[in-house]
Amino acid sequence: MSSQKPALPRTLIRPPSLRVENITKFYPVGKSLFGSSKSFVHAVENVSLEIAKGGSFGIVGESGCGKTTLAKMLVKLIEPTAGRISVDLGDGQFTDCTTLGHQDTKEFRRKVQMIFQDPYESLNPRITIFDTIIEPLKVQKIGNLSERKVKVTKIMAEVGLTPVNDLMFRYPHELSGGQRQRVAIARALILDPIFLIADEPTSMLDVSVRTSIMKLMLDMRQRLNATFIYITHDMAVARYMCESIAVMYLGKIVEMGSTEDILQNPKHPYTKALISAVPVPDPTYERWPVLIKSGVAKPIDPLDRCRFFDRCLEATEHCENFSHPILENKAGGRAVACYEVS
Amino acid sequence: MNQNALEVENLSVEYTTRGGPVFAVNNVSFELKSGETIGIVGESGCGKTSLALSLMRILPDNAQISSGRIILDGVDVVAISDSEMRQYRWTGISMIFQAAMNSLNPVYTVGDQLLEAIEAHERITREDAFERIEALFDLVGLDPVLTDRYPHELSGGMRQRAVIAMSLASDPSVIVADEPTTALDVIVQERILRELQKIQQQRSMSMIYISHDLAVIAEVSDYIGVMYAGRMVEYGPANDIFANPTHPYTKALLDSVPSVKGPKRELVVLEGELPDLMQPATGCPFAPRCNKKTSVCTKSLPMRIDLGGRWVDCFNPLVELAGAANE
Repeated sequence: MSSQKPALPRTLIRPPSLRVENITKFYPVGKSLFGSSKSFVHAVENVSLEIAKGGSFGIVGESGCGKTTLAKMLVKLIEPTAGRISVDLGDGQFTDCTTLGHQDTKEFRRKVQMIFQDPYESLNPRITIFDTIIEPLKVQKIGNLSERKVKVTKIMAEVGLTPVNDLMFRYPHELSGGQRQRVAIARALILDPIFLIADEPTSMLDVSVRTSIMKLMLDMRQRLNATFIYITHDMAVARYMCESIAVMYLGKIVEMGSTEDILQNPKHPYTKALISAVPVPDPTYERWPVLIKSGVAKPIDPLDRCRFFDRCLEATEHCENFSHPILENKAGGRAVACYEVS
Repeated sequence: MNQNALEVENLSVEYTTRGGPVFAVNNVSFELKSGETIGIVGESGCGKTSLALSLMRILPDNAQISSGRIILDGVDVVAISDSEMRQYRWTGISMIFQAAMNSLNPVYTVGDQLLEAIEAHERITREDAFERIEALFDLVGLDPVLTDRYPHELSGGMRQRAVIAMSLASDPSVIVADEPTTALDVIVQERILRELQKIQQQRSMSMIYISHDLAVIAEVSDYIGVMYAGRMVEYGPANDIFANPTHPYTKALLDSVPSVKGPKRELVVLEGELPDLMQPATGCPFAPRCNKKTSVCTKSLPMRIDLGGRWVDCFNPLVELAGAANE
């Protein structure tokens, strides 16, 4: 860690609590008989960023852009191929969480929690809601039985699982989709995490239920003072859930900044196309043309140039001949990875 | 000026289940002029897919159209036999299904599947059929070379385009699109919606566009029908519905949708759960969640109020009714 290193791309209002440096994840494809592989899916490549303490940070992008892979590396569900992730777990020190020992990993797991996309699959159908929510406390050996019961009852009321006494001993199949997602949120919050990572927690839910879960998560964020990382493909949801966002395309962050800024004034050609393609719930809205070449992005062994080159309408010769542009801090607290943006 | 391509009158669809009969579609009526699009919007379980399947008469075995009429080009397709209906499917009315992955057969090339659809309905030479398939691919923005490919060789967007091409194969006058872009990314979705609208204009085709996504419905629809618990509760021109929703449910839905454009307004949560269709309550199905509820709402079904070009089923609609307001 030398002081000459250039500043990491950041959107900070407060000091960072998570620092990601050059993180990369390759998946081998077409393994030979002896397990060696010549081709790799570049799921996430050379991503660096810092996330502010207590903020809500969104990772936005289309399917296959690597947003879930990035999130899973942040919670140590996947080991990165290369790179460092360091986290401030509340003691002001940055711990490199790629090289934690057994005991430290357990501590890490207590402080970093995840909420998954599909509440129909992320809950064990054979145990009750009470057992689901109390399990993290048992694993982490926190409190005795009566203390745990008090905690469970309290958190259930907080996330709107009421009447608590009625719902406590039900099984997941007896709950609606919205209630199940509330159980998943309660389970994640019961350990008072410092980081909460939610992977599309509302995309499986109905319109009216989605809003109530979004409200609940916003509410919890204010109450907990934890750092939220929210993964979504939906720009409109990101607008409500995240102070700042990173837009990903084919394993790279192409633009990063405050959510409202990016929505009003996107700089990267991909972000522009993405935002203009979002349908608007207003029949009188005159839409801008979506400026992007059609085509399918190939994540397997991409050429060493801008990932967006093949679909970009603003691409120049420079873009063709040079490596993928670095995500740089530009004017107005914005980081953009594009040669054409000054 | 336009005549009606489709009229649906008092349509009900009944499912026979172990718990008793369930009316997934209950007394739904609307009409659709040729060249226009009606967007059917509602949450899961509101009966919008059952409505689509009943229009095609491809309901599952335990479901049947229990009453009502579906008049397509002047013919009541509920009354005709199965073999007669076969002539209307694809040529009179066709459907774009939700999951393009599942509506294509993985062991045939996409070209062969289109060929099968065409040959099933028309006497046509192979050459003519292939010529048409290539023209259809061109129309939906697919390279005609792709006719030789298998479904797994195509991306999600390309598969959905192939499915759209197939639904257009026999030049239907009405197309039922059931969430055709729900599984797709926004940029692809935008392209396909444009393409559909272009084709619709060229062929003056009518479309029934079914979605839970109000933003997509706003993009494509001329008229909107809002469904709740099997009933259509509000119907009218898209601009009017979005500007002045009159049913409390429509209002609640619109208030809960986030948008990337315009000022960032507070989202309003619609409390409560969807009703259980197994045990229909007396009165308005939306009453338990409604903030405009009065004592009459739980006693009987609301009557239809005609608002001139649009209507609403509600005792307390969000409009000033001349004369009726002080009732």
